[in-house]
Amino acid sequence: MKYIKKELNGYNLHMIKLDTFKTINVELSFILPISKENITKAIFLNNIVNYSSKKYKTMRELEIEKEELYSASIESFNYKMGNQFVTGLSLSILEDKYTEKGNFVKGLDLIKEIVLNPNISNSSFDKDSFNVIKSNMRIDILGAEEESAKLSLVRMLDSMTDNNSSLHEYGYLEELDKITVNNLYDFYNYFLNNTKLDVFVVGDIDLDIVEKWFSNNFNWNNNKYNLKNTFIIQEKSRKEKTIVEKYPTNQGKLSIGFTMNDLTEYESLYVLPLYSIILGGDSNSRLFTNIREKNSLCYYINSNYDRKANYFYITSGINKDNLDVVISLIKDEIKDIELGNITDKEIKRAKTSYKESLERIDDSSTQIIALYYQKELFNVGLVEERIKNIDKVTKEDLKNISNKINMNTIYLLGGDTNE
Amino acid sequence: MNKYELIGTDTYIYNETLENGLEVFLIPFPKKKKNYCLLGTKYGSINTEFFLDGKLIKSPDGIAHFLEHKMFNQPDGEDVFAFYSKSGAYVNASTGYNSTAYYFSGTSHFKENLTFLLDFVNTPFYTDENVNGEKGIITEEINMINDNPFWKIEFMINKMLYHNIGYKIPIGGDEKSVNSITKEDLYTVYNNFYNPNNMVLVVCGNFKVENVLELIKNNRTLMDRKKINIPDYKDDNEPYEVVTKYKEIKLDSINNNKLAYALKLRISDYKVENYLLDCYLTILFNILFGDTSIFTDKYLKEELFSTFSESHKYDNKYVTVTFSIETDKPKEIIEKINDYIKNYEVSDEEVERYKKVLISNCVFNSDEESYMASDIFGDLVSFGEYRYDIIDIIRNISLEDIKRIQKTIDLDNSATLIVNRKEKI
Repeated sequence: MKYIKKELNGYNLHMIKLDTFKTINVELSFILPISKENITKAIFLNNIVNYSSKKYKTMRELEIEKEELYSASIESFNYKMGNQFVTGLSLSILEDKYTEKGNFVKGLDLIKEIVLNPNISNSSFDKDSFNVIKSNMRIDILGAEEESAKLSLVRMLDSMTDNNSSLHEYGYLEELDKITVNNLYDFYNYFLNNTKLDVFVVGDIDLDIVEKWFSNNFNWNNNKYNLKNTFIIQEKSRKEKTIVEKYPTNQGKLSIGFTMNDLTEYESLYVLPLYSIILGGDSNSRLFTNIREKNSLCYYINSNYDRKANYFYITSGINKDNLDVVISLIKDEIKDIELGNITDKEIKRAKTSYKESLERIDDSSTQIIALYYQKELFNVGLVEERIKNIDKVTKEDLKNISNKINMNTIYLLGGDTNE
Repeated sequence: MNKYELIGTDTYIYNETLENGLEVFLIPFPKKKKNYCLLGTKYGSINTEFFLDGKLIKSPDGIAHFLEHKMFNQPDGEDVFAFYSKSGAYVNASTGYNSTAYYFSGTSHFKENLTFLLDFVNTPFYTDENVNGEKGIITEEINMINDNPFWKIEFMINKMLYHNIGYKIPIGGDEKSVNSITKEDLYTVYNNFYNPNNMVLVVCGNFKVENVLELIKNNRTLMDRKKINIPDYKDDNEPYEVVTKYKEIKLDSINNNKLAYALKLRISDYKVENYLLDCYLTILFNILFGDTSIFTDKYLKEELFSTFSESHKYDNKYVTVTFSIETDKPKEIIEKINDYIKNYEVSDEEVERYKKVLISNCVFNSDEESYMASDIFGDLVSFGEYRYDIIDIIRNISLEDIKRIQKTIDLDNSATLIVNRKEKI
């Protein structure tokens, strides 16, 4: 594997040459400050550029071009990153060896067309496309609420904090209503000039050709984006609150939120993942073993965290009547870890499991990109360095971190119907 | 051991059927770190009724799924999750209508992990205690699935389509049937349908073929199992006509109005083998209703619908084509669908372009171990065979084939389910 980074016209080009895959993946990730308005507009923009461009006026024409490029796919993505929002595109295209000469470069041409030549005239986006995207986005936002487990998590975060960690990544109806063909055009101009762009190209590529193509064809306007305030600082939780809300589901969707306070970088990168694996990270965790296997109280129970937003959470689906017993069992396990009752076997198992997930990165081009992206943005170590640090984590570290993770909100949604 | 090339993908598949009937597929992925192994049986949620020594046995609904959960308990006390966690490997299982599969994936301890897969799936261990302990867990799994509007709609439309076939029953059964399951029920199913003669092993990863084959053939737990004749399932005698043609319901857990529209077609009308019919239908419906169709272009703009997907599913005699759509204008959209199926003039250019897509997708799939394994197992379950020459088969499809299939589609045997939200937002 060979990694080369080039600072080009207003953005970074990261090239990773390897021969593991039959595909080449190209990812463009843009960062902008998070807010309800920016989330909603960025998703809108991502949707509309993938629907219509100057050259390919309709989604049909765009999709035909992808099919002609031997079923190339371009997926759009949007996610939260602390006080930032990340939006972007990912192209997956077969190597020329499996298609024809020049096919990959045509894929790059298509990405350029989508990002830099949207269907704009007279300072406004094409009205027909705009209308389709607007009404579909409304359906998408409403549709996200149909998944009650996700809704429970969103509402829990909303009751837990007033800061940006409570924002969700589906977009907001009240913001959607305000978007017009003209202010979307203004947003596009803002986007071109103010977002941080990183481009990744992974696969069996010719480094010279890729670099030349990007420096000749693709310009961006910003290489001074400030990531300093990405991490959200949470207020320390005192005593947790419990909210039970009626909702028409058979099962109560439980979300428990914890704030994380004063974690060091070492703790958040290396101790936190192990803590989560031991508590509720997989099918050997304490929560899985005790709540599911021993007491038959649920089918799924998981813990997870957002390192940049400094919160930790547990999710499960339970019978509403069992809320108290489930909470008390969860608290017992947390207390036990706080007291330092962690076996060497548990720690070893968690380390093995986490190291295995690092080893697997090499088999997935999207994970390889994520690895180098975190390195680029926050100087997080690559696989070897991470494994070395994971091995250093002690029982004392786990005990210490558990005292910095404090329960804030217990939220139970629904469980009121039987159909 | 036979060696086949998936032409045009740099992929080689080794195949052998063992003495005890187990079908083995080995697919080397020399550039990958990770291994992926799947051991599956052609027994799923719909296979509850079968004949043993001439006597009809009726197992409780949801038994295939219950059994899948119980394979994770082992007699020596260390359960399956605990074993795989020692090397950090991922292990899971899934139950479908016609099959159940167990799989793991990991980057180390390949031999031990494969050996354990062969051991645990061949070692049933059901006790009153571990069976009863599972009931609460499965009840919550059923509650979770019932809360998902898409699954709810799938079972409702299936109920409208099928008189007898178990597609109309949720894969997990319901709380009552799950609570009635005993260890004896589980052993009856296990002993008759988890026989190597009904099973398939697919091993993908970075290995030497001879070594893996030797490991499999030296596995006593597997090789000590004798081949039996798999009992006959009760004939479903499924009539052609759908059960209910039209139904409107209201759900209070949804925000967007939905439509499920399904066609139940007689396979024998098409006079081609199932795997080929599947290719034809995939090409036809993508041309008519896919992302590159005039239909989607036009009616998305006219806001007739917002999301649209099509899937088809086979049984012995029928293939059902189901359209799942989010729309406020269900009747109009059904009219348009029928009009396109009847009257759209498919072009040679469209057929050729979609053939290119299907062939390219074979290359994409051959790059991922888990896709290859589920493709092979899925085709064996659905069509009774896996075609190594699939790319050539696709190349040979002509415009006439697609037109002939299009003409044969019977629009009269359909079911329509309209699902509206209870209150207006």
